[in-house]
Amino acid sequence: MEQAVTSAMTTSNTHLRDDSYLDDIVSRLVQFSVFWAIVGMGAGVYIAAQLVWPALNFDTAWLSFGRLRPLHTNGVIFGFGVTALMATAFYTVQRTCHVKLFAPRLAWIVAYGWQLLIVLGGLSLLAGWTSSKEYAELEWPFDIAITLLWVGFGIVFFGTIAKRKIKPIYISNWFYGGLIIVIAMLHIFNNLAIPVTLDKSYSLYAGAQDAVVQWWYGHNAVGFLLTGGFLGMLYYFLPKQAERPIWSYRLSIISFWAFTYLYIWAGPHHLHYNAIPEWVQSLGMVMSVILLAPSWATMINGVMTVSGAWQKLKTDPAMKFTVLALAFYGLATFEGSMMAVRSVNVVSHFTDWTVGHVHSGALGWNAMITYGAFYFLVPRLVNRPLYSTRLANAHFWLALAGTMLYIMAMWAAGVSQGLLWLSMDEIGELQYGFVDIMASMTSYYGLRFIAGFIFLVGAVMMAYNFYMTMRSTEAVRVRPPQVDPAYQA
Amino acid sequence: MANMPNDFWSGWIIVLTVFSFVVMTWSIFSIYFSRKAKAADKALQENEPVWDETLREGHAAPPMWWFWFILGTCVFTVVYLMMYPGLGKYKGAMEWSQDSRVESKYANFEERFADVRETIAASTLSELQANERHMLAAEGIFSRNCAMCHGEDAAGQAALFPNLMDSEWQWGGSAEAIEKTIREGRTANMIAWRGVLNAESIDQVANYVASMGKGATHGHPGEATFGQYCASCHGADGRGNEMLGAPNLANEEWLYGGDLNAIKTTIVRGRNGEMPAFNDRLDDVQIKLLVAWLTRDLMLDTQVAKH
Repeated sequence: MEQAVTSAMTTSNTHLRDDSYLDDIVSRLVQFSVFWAIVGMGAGVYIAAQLVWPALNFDTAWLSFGRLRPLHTNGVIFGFGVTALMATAFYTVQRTCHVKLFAPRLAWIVAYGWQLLIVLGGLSLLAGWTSSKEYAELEWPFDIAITLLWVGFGIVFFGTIAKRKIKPIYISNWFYGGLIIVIAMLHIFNNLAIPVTLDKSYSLYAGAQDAVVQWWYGHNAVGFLLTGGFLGMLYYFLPKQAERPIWSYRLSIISFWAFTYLYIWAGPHHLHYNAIPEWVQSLGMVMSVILLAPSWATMINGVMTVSGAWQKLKTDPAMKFTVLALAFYGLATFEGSMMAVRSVNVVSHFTDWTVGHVHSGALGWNAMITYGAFYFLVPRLVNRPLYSTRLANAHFWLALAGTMLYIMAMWAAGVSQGLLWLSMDEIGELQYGFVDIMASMTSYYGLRFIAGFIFLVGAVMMAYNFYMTMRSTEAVRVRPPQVDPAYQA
Repeated sequence: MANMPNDFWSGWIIVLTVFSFVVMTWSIFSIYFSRKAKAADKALQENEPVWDETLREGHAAPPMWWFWFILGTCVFTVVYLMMYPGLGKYKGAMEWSQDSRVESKYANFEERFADVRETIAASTLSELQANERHMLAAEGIFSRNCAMCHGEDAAGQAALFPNLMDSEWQWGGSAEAIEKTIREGRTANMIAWRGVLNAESIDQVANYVASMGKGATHGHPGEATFGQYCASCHGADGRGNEMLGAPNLANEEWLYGGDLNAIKTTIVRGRNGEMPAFNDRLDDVQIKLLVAWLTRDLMLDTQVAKH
């Protein structure tokens, strides 16, 4: 790893001085992101198998579900997801600001530091270190490292915005900027804790307050990272792939502000009927319902942008992924707003429906849009056509089949769990035992394992395709174009 | 309402919520209908920024149906916050609360099931045992409340939790005794004999206890020690004492394991058996159904089959 850092630094050193875009870092981050996709999804498939065949933990602590599950979620969100966001943010911000990345050395430190963090953080999860906060399991030393790296990411990104050559700020950059600021705020406040030893700390908040802070973090990590950040990706790569302007730029601005305002309230819908005040739950619910409007505004904007360029779907696998991601975005946001409604939540809470919902977002939206962006980026980064379009098309169908199978299995499992748990017999006793209901889930869990495996196979095919495309190529140097005098900063 | 904020914070919540909501809706609608933005859109059409090669801004006006859509969700929000608790201390026109929902569910339950449950409460155990559906319900109650310790098949678990399917009842197997056990819970305590007995006596007693169920012979070297230390609870013949929850050692049913090692561990370290009280968690009907299920004929059948 250290050697890789040094060699990357030296190869980029000459490049640090000229004014062409810093794209080496994008290439490297794309490679890391694909690597983490396979590791993170692999862990997911393995624990899905454990739910069918529990013996697969081999009575080994570090192979147990409780340790592999956070490895899976952290691996895909912070490994695959954040690395992809860094790659695309660095690519997008340079091109839409018409300027080379600010502080290239710092950018490289952030890029490699983040990978080191994921490696060590992942090992700490396997060793059983955990703060037990969902999606924030990493212990305090890692929380501090994340904060420092994240500030570095912010300096590079906003520094680039500050020295931009074109006056207005493109919509993608608003979303990427929102991601950086809000995640910094959430991460710091949710992880405030008193360290006891290197591997153990206690949260500064207690009881219900801890729960509210945790879901303020948890839901907005979904909001500003998994939704907002990836919307930044969408607004750059979709119009680029369609070679058409964003249908209604004004609608994109409206939905950005509505989205930013509304999302931050939505967290308490994770705590319906819990020991938190009713007014908090109600506000979480109503803001989640209105949130559907900006979400669908974005979807409509995307669909109308593609409209007129549908024929490109026949030839461009990257665009297929992006358009499919848009469809799943519409589906998952609709589902999310509905599940936030109290009376629906009574049935859906604590069931596998939630798991299905998360994966229609994670597989259908996050992974697909990232695949779309990467299939677009990789050939451009090395100036060479994709190794195999057929392989990419096969990946598309595997990804679609895997996602559909996954969410349908979890819908069936979740809705039956929710209804069976609530059903009463004719003398007023619960009709089914918890264990009986759990045992009846085996076939759905089996389907979920198959679905995840199919999705993973697709990701492996993509990795091979990228390897064959990128191997023994030289980085392309692209210089910023002249800016129209009317828009010069 | 313990979870309601005081006047100051309540006011703060209301002001913050309403003010920021108004600002959000106002900014959406003003961007939507802004003349300046429309004029800017027109101007842009003539000379628009080129963001990156083909990347440009489109100038379509946001669709009207979307405007009605977000207006609808905003109206829903306003109505909801008038009807339900959401604005600080204000309880909403419906006077709805989580507690009232639970209460109404209870009232509903009473209304629907009061009669049938009264009938069950008035039935004899054998009447309940004869009703297959009641036994199924009882099995469900067992599965949700008892199975985590006693096992899904009620056959005990982990050499720690008693088998309820065999003939041995540590605290008595009559319906009354079982009901008392469920309602009040039980605490059994066997002290650790390490320090009281030396290694040799422990060995001897353990051997003696292990052989009791197989018909211990008089004159066993452990007999004297047993008589001195163990018989006060387990009885001179080792048949136990249901008043104390002291298990019968003169059969082949073992709570904490019957091999020599397990018996030695029990003697050396002692044992603490704790069954929690279910009086507050289960109602009379549920307890009655459980007692009927645990004492049903099927268990006699099983015992006959075993021997």
